[in-house]
Amino acid sequence: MALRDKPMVAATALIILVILVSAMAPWIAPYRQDDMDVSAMLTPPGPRHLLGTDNFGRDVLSRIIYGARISVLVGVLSTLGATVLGVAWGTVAGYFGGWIDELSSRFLDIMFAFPYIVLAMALVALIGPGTTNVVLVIAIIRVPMFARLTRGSLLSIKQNDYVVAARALGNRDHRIMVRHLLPNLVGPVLVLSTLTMATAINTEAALSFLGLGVTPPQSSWGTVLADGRNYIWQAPWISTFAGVAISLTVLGFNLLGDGLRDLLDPRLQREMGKST
Amino acid sequence: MGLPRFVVKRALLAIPVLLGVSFLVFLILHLAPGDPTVLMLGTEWTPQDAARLRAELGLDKPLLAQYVDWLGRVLHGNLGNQYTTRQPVLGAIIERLPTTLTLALGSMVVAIGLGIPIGMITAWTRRSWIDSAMRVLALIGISMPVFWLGIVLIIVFAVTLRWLPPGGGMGQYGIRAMVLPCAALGTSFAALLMRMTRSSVLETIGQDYVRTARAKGARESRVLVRHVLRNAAIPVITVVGVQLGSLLSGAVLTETIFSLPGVGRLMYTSIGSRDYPTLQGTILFVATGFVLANLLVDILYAVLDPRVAYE
Repeated sequence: MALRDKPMVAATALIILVILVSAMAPWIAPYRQDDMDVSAMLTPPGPRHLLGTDNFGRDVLSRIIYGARISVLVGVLSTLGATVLGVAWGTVAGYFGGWIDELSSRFLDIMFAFPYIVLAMALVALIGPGTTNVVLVIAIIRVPMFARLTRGSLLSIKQNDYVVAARALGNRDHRIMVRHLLPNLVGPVLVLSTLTMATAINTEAALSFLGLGVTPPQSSWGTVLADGRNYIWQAPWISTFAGVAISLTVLGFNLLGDGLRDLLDPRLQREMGKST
Repeated sequence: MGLPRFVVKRALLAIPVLLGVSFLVFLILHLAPGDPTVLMLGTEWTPQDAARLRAELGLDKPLLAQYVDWLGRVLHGNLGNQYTTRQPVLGAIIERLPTTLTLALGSMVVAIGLGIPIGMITAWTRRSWIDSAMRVLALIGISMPVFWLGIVLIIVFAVTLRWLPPGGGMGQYGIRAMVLPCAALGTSFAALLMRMTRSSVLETIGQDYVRTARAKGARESRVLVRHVLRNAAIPVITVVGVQLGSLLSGAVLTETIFSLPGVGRLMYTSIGSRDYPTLQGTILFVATGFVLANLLVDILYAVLDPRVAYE
């Protein structure tokens, strides 16, 4: 059934391609990412350098291939962090309810009161830039969405007869949570995680672009894009191609997330459309 | 519960959020690396100077007392002075506000002007090639980072065609300076609005009251305007409200790429210069604006759909 959904197949293929490229970067990149060719600085795309070179004569294609590693890694780790923390948070709040839930909801409201880039920038200002910190910051700013989704879903699942029955049979709290509640959350959380991969890659690029993210010697798509920004008059290809890489990957995750949502639970559409 | 009560209740609910926001923002100065007194004193100072300044600033009091003092000053419009220029933070924000507001409003106009009509067209032509093409375009629009779209627009319209200035702000080029920034920031919102309008119109078209309107012989244009659009507008307005946060986030990035002298850029430069009072002030300003805008959207929502106020 899923195979007939062409956009989803295309998205999955695109994501697999990006992951393969980042895993095999040293073998498929035509040059090393920091190989400088001083005789070919700011060369337009051509046979020797398919996507041209930057101001140090570095091959843009190779930099994008290596950059995929950091961009994908930051995306995966921060999404994982946000998912685990957010689901744990939302489960505790939604299952126990009462003052715990009340307190958690008020705190989430406060977190949601900050535009996400503003929150990310404030956190980076406090803990400093760098790849590890960026993962941390993106995970933190995305936790509230998972917490809210998990809590909301749990509250409706809790009403189901089988949960009431499990409790009546005398099952312990953690058993009910693990056996009866969490399996029902897999669908919605998977959809949100996929869409969060898209925003995480985008946010990393934004922070790195602002000089608040990945710092040299590491480089991601965001840093390549930022480097190219100073040369848009002489070498517009640097920023252009880095942005194409970001856009295509983000598009892949957005398409996959949309497809999964339609596949797993069409009712979620409105609920989650509000919070992307 | 009627509308006036709903408005009051909703406004009261915003107060604890604003207090929480202000407390977190207040903590920025305390969590920031480095001693603020040292940063303020500059290069030459004695420990006595530092102690005097600490007492003067109230930094020797308990944290909660400091927060209450700070909040009191903030409520009187005193956000402190910038470390860099020694000028009041609030003045610096107000000076940059017109640029940010023009950017936000301009991109909203772009978003609504493009997103809602295209969304309606795709809903009416659903499952046609126009619909498919527009939906793919919308997803591409959502996936492009705003700072990259900004750069591409600069490359095309400023570097290559030389039609518009690449940035600089209204002081230098007048309103022409805002065309590319508004287009860059407005595009992703246009895409979001298009998607929401499409699904909202499709949902409304299937409702019984639309069938009734048609059955009683109302003209198609009247059905669309009076029955479909009015009801489809409600979820679309929620999206506009919820996306205000992304709009503000995007504004920070857009102001940076186009070197616009706005509040977002002020915030960004304050990070680089470790000017924490400015960082604190701009964040508080933006977050408060966001909470109040959401309050307005909620009220508008209740005005359009009276059921909301009675729930």
